[in-house]
Amino acid sequence: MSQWICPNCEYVYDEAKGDPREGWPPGTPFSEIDADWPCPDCGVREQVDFLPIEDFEHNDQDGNTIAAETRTSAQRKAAERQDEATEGEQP
Amino acid sequence: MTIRATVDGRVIRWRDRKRYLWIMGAIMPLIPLMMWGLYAWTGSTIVWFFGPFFVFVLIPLFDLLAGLDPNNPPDELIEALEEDRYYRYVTYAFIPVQIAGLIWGSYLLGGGTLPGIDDPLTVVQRFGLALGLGMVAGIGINTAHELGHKKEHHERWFARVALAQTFYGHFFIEHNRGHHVRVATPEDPASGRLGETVWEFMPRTIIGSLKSAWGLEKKRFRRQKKSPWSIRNDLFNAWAFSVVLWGGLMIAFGWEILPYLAIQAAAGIWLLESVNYLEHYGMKRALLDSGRFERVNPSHSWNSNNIGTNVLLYHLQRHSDHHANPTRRYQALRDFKEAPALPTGYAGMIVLTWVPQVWRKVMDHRVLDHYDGDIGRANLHPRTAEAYVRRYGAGTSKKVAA
Repeated sequence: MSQWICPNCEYVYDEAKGDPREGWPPGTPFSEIDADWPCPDCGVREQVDFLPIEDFEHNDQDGNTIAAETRTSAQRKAAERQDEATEGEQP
Repeated sequence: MTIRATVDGRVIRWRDRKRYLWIMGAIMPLIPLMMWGLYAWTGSTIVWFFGPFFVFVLIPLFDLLAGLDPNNPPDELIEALEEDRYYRYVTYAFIPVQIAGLIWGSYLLGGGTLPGIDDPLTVVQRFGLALGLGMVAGIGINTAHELGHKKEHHERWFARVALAQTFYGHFFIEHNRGHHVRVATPEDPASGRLGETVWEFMPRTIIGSLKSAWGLEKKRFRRQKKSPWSIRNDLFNAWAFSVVLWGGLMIAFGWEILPYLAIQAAAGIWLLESVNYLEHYGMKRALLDSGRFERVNPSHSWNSNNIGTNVLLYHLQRHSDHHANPTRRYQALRDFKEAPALPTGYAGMIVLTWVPQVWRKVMDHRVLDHYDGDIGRANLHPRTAEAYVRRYGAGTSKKVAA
């Protein structure tokens, strides 16, 4: 059972507890929640934007807004950089 | 009072100059009582129209004279500032004053007399008084807005109480879960579109927001596999406060006050929805390849640093920060230097909305400048989109009309 956090307001979705008020009974895996389900507290981040709580460092309230789209492209770029680096190492 | 925090061994100090000005917000609901004093003094019917005069003449004048307040708290102190409970107690204090003012007004609307008010009010006087109560009711929706965004359960219940006067309990559902999600998109009923008059906007937002609120609660109950016809439905439990308040007032002062209760509610709703109209006028978030709209950012709201309206509306005009961080408390909202700004405060801008020609003259070129002359990036109103494209050119954007 894992926990997911809203990167804007730090609402935590705990799979063990679910969120019955929102219609997610205890034990509902986060992956079964609708992708467009907005955070019940702030409303400005959706399921796809949530982070596993262990990956969370600080909220994005400083205006440095990280959307799922930019995150995946950032991850892709990081992966590309890594590929280039390993290619460079080969003779 | 100075707030301080220690960051990396460095002590940061900051004094909030607006700290005690926030009490002004809680004094606002006493405006109807001022009419009592003015009437006892002058005996003139016109003083019963003091409410709209205060909101649409005195506040805009004050904004023009008092000028701008660009002060921001240092980032390091925002958390400490939010934790200071004084600020939230100031917003709670609004509510009992609001209810007391409404009871007092309803007594007069029901034909009551007071020292200095020897005869029951005439119909014209009652109409003016109802408009004045409506101004307070509209500002009450703003107080409910501040409280309804918070995570604390009791503050969300306080929001319902503040909304009871206008029968607008569904607002805090639709605003938080509807408007904030879809703001500045063609899908949002509560975002004004470029070329849309406030008169067209009113029915669209009032009906659209109600439908949307019902849809949101229905969806939530469907996930729970329960019927939405339940007192646990936030629409019904919020409206219940209005039934109790209005019902109690009619039992105490006679059913004849009902038309005046309706007038004050309509005036309050009008005030609130006018602010909705101008806060995002013409703004549009770009549609991404993923099918989602781009994240709300500071460029999607109109801001104002006019200190008069800002103090009375709990920093509502620092709207870009509010949309970036909806749960942040009002005292900690910052002015974003890069965010688009209105020529004056919200109160004065509402007056401009009444004459669409004047509104368009003041605002349309600002929207166009904001989008670097590319009209296709603005949130165009379907009725006038073609005329706007003809006049300003289609621009370089491919996605033109909504």
